[in-house]
Amino acid sequence: MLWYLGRRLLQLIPVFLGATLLLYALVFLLPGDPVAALGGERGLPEAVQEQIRQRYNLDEPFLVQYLLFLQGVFTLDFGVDFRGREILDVIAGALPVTFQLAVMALVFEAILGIGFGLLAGMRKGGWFDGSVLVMSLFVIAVPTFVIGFVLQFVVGVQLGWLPVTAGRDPNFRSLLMPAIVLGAVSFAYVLRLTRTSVAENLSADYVRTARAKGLRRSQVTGRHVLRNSLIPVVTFLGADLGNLMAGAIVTEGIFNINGVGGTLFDAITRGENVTVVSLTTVLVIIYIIANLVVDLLYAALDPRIRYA
Amino acid sequence: MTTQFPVTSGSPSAPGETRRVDEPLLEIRDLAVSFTTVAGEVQAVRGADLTVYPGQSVAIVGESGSGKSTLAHSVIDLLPGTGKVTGGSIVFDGRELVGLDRREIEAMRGRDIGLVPQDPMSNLNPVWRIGTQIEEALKANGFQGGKAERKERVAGLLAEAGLPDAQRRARQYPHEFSGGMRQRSLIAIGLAARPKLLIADEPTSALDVTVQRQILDHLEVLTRELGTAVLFITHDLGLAAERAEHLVVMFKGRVVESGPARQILADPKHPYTQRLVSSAPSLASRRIQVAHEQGEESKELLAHHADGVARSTDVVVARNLTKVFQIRGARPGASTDFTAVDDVSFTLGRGSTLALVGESGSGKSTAANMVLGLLEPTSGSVEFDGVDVASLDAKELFAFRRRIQPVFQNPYGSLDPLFSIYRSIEEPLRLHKVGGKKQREARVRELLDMVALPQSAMRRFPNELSGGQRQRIAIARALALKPEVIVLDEAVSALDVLVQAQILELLGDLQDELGLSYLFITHDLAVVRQIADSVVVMQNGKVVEHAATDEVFDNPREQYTRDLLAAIPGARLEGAELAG
Repeated sequence: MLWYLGRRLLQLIPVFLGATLLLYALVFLLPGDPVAALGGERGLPEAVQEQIRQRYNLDEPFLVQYLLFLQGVFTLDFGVDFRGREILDVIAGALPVTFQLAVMALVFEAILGIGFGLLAGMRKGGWFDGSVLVMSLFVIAVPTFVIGFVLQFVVGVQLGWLPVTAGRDPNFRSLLMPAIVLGAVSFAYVLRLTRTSVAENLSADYVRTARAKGLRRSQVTGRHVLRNSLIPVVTFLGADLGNLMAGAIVTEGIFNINGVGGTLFDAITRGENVTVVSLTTVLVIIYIIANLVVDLLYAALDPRIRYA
Repeated sequence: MTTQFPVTSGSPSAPGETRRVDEPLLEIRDLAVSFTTVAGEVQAVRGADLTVYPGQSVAIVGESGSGKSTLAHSVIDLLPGTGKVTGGSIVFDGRELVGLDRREIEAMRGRDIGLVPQDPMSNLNPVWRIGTQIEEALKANGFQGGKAERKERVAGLLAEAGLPDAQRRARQYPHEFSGGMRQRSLIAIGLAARPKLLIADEPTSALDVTVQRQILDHLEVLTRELGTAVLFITHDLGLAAERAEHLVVMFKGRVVESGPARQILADPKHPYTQRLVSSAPSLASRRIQVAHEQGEESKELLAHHADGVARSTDVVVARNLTKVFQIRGARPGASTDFTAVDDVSFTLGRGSTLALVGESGSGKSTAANMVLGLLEPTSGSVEFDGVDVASLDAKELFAFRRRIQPVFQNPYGSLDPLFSIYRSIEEPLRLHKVGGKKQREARVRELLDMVALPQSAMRRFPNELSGGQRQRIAIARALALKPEVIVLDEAVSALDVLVQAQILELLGDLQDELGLSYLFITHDLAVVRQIADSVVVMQNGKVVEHAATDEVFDNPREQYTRDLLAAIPGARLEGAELAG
């Protein structure tokens, strides 16, 4: 087990180096000159442009730039962006909100998705199953921004139950609606996955054995059907945390949340290579760690899986 | 395997069928069960009657699809899917079970009627400890006592079911158990609450023969001591006759015959029972043996006659075959060697049948794969018609493959479901560029005739055929290239007894006609008796015994061979009890 954990953590190193190099190269290849764009219509004097290039190492060749970036990462000195803000501050400002949003969305989709999926799977072919399936298909088919705007208008503006936007200082209440919108599509997938898995496990031989022992239906469901059905669902949920964080940009836009999505979009349009690569790398690392946690959870749920 | 219980020798129900004065424990009258499918309602059980007295053992015998499992499962309302009791009555201990509500039947399960299910691999929940799963059965059925007492009882039940070191075993998970150990755990679960009736649904058909015998012996002793009535469900008439006092034969959802076991065996009335009695491999092999012991000419009982064929040369010679697999260890870089086949030598004479016999893990299939050239031996050699197979280059190997063809165990998995029968049989011909389109089609027709299937079958797909028909297709495909040797890897093991008998007969006829040599891989000695000329008994990768079939059956030299022989169901039956 420790061997396994150590090996997985060691794997982070090549993944980190590979991801940053690839990202840096992609950003470097982006067309356009960020420094020239800083000056707008009139343009900056040659001397000023030259000074800015020197300051941000933009005059160095690609590999040197990349190595300088790595040096910054290891000394935890990412430098400043074009507007003079510490990049570390920029990340620290954007990441927590998005993380909170993603975790709330994950909890929402896990609880409701598994709950509805279980009920639907238990009564496969019934009216509840049918309506839930149609509902999930609807959620998957309708684009996130449509769900977002409709909810925002109905729940926020017309009914006034929840804040319309999250704004500068988001709290649990103001993030609730964005989290539901963000998790909606995954909720539909979790529901369908749980439903299929439950329906399949219900006809498993060991479920019949459990019934033959004289267990009550609720015991059979809880101990023998649900636990076994959760194994594929947990895999999906773990991988989804990364998707939710990276995919929050539309939701963050609708609800005016100052998170990773908006910051990243800004940085890309401005050509702030260091910000883009740093933020994306953090996302990559979160993704990898989430997957590691999934694998460990997997082993906890299924004793047949032993990591060595 | 024996624990504190003595294992009785001789026949289990020595007094035979005794007229009982007590009330029946279970009385099924005119029961009808049907399943709803897209094609409409399918009747699985039609008007079945069955009576079990307290402490009695009754066996329901029939082939797959006969409704035997459905009948038994309807007693505890555990019918799969859309199954429903549509008529008749089930009275257990004076109480009508049909129409009971869910809670009432839940209260009866485990406590009054226990179940030992068929497949030990899939019937334990892989994510819970064995002990936990037995504990559940205690808790659900009103076990009085605290946690410590419960744990102790679990260990007691496991020990009683014949698992040594029960305390430690209870903390393990199903995947750490062998098939036999799992089946013992399932028996412990079934008997945990001391039910009056135990339904045992093919409790050992998935296990090796020697394990099968140990477990059945043990179950018999246990249930007798506890006074539990047992309702066996089995496809093996020999096993049923040996283990139960009373037999109920089912065919297409109906009970066609029922009566005392020995009486049915000696004097079957219904034509279906007569067919079963005459072709069940366990009984057939016993009959051959009895006839042989009495010095009678038993050739007509054999499925094929090898004596007509000249056996001058050996077509396959395996010399000191060894195969070592590396198993990944717990740590990176660490690995252990596993010798699957250890210094195995045998010869297959032209036109004869050699059986490789052993239990799972004995290395028989690995040896067969090396003969087929599908696996490279670690050391040793396979000579085919005097040429070392390892020395062949790619082109020669391709030509070699025409001369030796396999037929595998699972007729459901070995045919491509997307290929029509015609395409399946034609494929090897096309691959080896034999003849034109017309000639190939003619050859496919000819092959279908050989395996006694209508030519119209070639337009059909595997899912439209039965298991026996599919196996005929697999044999036709193997014959397509006119091979000299056919490797039959458990080729009849997955089939119902009657179908099994037909396929064995077909194989015998084809051998006579075409002078084929068979390498017959099986775990079932009963089948070996009917088809093989000589036998290689394997255990843990090594050859234990290699001799002519008669020799092995008459004078087994090794203890392991004797165990295997004793484990054939029906081995305890007397010659006089066998009809035919």
